Amino acid sequence: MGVRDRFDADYNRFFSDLTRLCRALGAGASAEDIAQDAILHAREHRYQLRDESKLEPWLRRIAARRTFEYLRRQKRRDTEEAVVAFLPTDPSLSIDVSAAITCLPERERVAVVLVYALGYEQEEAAQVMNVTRGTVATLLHRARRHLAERLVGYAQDRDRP
Amino acid sequence: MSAMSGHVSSDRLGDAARHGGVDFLRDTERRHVLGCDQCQRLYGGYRLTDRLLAAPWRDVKLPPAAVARPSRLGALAEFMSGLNARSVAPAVAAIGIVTLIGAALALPQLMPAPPVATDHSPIASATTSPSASGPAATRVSPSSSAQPSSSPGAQASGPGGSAPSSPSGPTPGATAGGSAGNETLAIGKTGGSPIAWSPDGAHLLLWGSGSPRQLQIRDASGRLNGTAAADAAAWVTSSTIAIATHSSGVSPSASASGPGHHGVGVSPGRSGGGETVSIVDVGGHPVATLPGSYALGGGVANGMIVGSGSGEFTIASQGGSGSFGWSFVLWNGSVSAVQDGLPIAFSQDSHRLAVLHPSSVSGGVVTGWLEVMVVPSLNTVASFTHLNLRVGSGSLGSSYGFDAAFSPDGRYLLASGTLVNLSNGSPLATGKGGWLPDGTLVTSSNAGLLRWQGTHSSVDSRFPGMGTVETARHGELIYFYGDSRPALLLDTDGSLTAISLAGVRSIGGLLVSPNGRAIAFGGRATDGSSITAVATLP
Repeated sequence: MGVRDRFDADYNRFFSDLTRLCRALGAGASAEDIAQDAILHAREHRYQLRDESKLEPWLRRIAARRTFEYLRRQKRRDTEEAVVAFLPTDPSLSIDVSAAITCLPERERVAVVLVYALGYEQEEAAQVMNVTRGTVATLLHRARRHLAERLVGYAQDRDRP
Repeated sequence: MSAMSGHVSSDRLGDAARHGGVDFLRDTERRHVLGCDQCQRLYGGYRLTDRLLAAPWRDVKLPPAAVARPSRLGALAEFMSGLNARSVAPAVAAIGIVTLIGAALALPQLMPAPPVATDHSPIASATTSPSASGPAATRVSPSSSAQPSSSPGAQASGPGGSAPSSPSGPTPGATAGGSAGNETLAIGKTGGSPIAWSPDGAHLLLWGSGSPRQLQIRDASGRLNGTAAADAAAWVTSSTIAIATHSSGVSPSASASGPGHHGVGVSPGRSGGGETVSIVDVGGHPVATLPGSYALGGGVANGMIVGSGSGEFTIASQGGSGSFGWSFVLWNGSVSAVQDGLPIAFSQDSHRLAVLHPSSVSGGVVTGWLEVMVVPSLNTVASFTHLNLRVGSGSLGSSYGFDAAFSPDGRYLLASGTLVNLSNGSPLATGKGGWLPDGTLVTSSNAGLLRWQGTHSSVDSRFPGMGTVETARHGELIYFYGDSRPALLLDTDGSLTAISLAGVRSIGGLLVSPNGRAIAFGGRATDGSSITAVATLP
């Protein structure tokens, strides 16, 4: 089965996977549009894909890049409207704790979202981010440290030794 | 222990939090942590972080103040921290050289130029626009080698191929105010939220504000013709509109058992009653009332009535036996038997009806399998149960109806960016767009406007960058960007005009009248306020 046939045969699965990725990266209600645009772009430029077995990581990378472009455009607009963010939510924790994720530097936040929110292996996350697996591990390590330092004031008694 | 601070290092505390507690630490470290508030707090921060990262993730609405945006200074610092003097020096030197060369080249251009006669300008062949509404307007006709919208087949030579552009025609970089003629259009403010143009383009339906929703019927210049209270509406013909009105006095049971009841759903859409469907004229005066009552469906109320524009319309109702509770009737002078499903679009000749059988309805987006029926018999001509088609609302966002349209020949359906071949049900992601009268599908993408012939697309370089495309049934095409860039109008004669709207900063959504003579749009005024208005196209 050629790449083009795979696009058409697995369209629903690709669309669902990419929508989830775009939403997790912060695209909100535009996730479906970005995912669709990514599939369209990939289908148009499928000849650029040298190794067909890497179709899915390639698609994810395109979708992620488009999501970042979209987010950059959004950031330029000064908005007073509520912002939708993809965050971990624990009923026993305040929303401020969850919102700490948004304070992470972008690359660290992306690594955290890919690995913790979407359950990607570090290798898969590395493919999406176009970096090495070691870089993802470093980013996760730094992100955890940054979060811990930021959440010091929120730690409850049960979190203490 | 950190030699510098005397505290246990952050990494060691993190490892301890992850690996079962302070017992993981060496004796000296553990003794320190148990007696040091600072280390205990950081250890607590790690424990809390691990709890947080293990929690389920979902979309959360945050006030802007809760979202930390790195300051520009912070971003610069982050960038600079990744650099060192050794790597920066060549880059700085290169930038300096390029700047010097650029300045040398640009200097003559900055000198005042002598006036140039208009006849010798590159747009000497431009014709003056007949419109008197704006300042001296020009329109450019692309040469014969450019792509006229009426013969797109010539450009769609293959996948990924870019369309040929005329040497004298508009170029991507020049589109916004360059080679394309520019025109500023006067606007007529309407308020409300545009729903749909009448099939002949003479009138426009809009939602007013308030509850029950007030339907406004305006002419193409924006003048108010009539109003009616309505929860859903659609054009039946160019002079009649079907509206659903909440009938609080009608009890569902009484309605269901009453004589001549042909309603689909008998359960009330809201407490206390269902919806009565009537037909009104363009002045808002009642012409007829259909028997029965209907239940306004949750989530897709705006799509409850779908009109063909040539005398038929469907009324969908929730609470029936169909998938996800949806069923409908067709009206074409009389009411049909009840059918399962949710109609989303009539074909352009009104002989076919696309019906979705929803498996999920969320936020105005319906997902389900597709059935195509014959009008008016409602016999099935095709069922694509394998298809999981997603259909959202129309181009003006939450305002109205479904984003679905048959191709002029009825062989394809474009639904929210997915093209479905109705001969075999195969879907293709094309992006959102519209149909031109010759059957060419035009969609928007990051590369610009795409023209589709079958499953092959080519970029029309006259419409660069990510925008939104709207088409008129007559053949006009408008590409707009949602920011301060002017919209691009491609007329049926092939002329391209960059149109600005007086007093408008950006267009959020736009509807072109079927005859291609006017637009209704919503967006932001130059003072930042919301604006809804109509404008007559040149």
